[in-house]
Amino acid sequence: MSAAVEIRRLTKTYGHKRALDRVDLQVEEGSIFGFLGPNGAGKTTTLRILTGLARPTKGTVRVLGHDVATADNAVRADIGFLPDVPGFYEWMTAEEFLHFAGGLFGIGRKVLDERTGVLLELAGLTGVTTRIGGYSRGMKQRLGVAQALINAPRLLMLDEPTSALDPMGRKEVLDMLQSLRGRTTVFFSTHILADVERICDTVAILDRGRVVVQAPIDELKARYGAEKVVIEVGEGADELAEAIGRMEWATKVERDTNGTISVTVSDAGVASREVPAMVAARKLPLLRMEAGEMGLEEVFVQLVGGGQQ
Amino acid sequence: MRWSRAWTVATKDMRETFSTAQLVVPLIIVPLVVVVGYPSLFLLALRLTPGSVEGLQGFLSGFPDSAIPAIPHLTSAGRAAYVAIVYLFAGFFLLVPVMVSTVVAANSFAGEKERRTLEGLLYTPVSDSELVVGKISAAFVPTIVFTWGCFAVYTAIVDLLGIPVVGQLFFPTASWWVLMLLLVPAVSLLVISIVVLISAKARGFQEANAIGGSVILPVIGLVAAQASGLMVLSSGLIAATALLFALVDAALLYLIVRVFKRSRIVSYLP
Repeated sequence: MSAAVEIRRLTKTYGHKRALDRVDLQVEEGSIFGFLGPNGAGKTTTLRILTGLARPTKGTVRVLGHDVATADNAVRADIGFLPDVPGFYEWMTAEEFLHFAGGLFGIGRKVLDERTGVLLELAGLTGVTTRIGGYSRGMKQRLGVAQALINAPRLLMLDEPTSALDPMGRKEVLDMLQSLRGRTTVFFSTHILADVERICDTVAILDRGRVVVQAPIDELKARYGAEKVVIEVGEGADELAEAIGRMEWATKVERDTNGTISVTVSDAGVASREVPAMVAARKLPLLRMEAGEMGLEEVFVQLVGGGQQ
Repeated sequence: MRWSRAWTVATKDMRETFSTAQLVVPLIIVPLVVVVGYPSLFLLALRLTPGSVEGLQGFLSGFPDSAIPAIPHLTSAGRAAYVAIVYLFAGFFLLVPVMVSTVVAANSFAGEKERRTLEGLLYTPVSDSELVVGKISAAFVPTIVFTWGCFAVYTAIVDLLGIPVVGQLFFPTASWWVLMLLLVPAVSLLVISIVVLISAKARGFQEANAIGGSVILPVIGLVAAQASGLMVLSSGLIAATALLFALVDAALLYLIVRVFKRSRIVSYLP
């Protein structure tokens, strides 16, 4: 599988401020790639460089085989892009807007008519004749994604596509992106972990201009989150949690109000043998014990540090 | 450069301009006053109260006899009508395109920034030169069409109301044709190019319009000189002036297309 995006030691500075610091990134063609990071981490700067709108201070950036430093228009012809706060010509209808966007790519009338129909269908806007000014945020965002697909891009880039949407709107946009799987490479930046977890194959986490990790989501969770045991007892949870906390293999113990104890462990095998024995020794009713898995949110907090979200 | 892309940008901008009341209202009111109001009132006043021409003697004396052709039985009122229609109002016909082009060109990039639509445009493969040519065309085409439309209306009004005063068909003169066909497009293109550049750097329409509006000042000087008889422009002189403007236009357009970089505009985006 070839790389749709290849970034090597990318650094971008604005005056004395270092927005990106030796970023390495690789996005495989055909994947849905989540570019995760807190606000101000450098996601938009990276996207602007990928689309040729900003120049790297150092490093190389290749998009679909093109070096963006020398081939920015050629790159833009092959990609679709949706900015974080997309603007729309509110006096146009969705169909007019897609025709305008297609005209900017020099797409012929016949192909454009066909493609407009398909994309309106994909965006759930077929038959909507009202002007864009009257659309909900979700409708606008779906239209934005459709517009970014007008040139049948090999790479679709979206900057925070769901951040301003309500849960229903988010679901609709994510479903739309999900439906593109296998047809085009999707690269989207976000600070919403649940969105990445839901549709992405691979994720990179950016923090203060540096990529702290890049891996397939499952691998990431396995690497950072497999060592967890969740225990639920009918009574005596406080005493059990205290006892577990004294064990060498227990690195972190958390208590829920309903008697659930979450233990981050250094050795899941030892923990799974010793915990039942500790429960039995105290004659506590064991309701549940399972190997837990850290969610992406916990991985993210662990890697980026709490308090930033 | 693909003209179809530049034209896509231009047609969208033109549709947008004429669907925005903030832009259309001044574009209608000012020319209506200048092109219809002033000449109509002036000619009607001369026809209804021929004695009022006495008050214009000072103004008329500023114009050399050579500025007025030999028209049989030309009265004082006819002479006043001729001077006003041919010379006094000529300057206004430079003000109309300058005003129209300033308003439309100021909106080009700055308006898109305000409505947050510019970023989407910059992410397309439309090249920098296609973008700037599209923006300039979007201001140039309506400016010329509008000014020529005003000229047609002005011609109809002054011939309708002026022939009885002057005694024969006298308008448009050769210098007016040169003014309309050469000087107006050349001056408009210069103003538009400057204001489009200002608009690319400005943060909003009002800022671009305020700064761009200052380019109207030299034209006002020209209007005043022409109106006072200080500078009676012959068709040859107008053609030479238009040629000079055209050369400056060519140089400026070449420069703009070379120096215009979208990455610089991006740095002005929020």
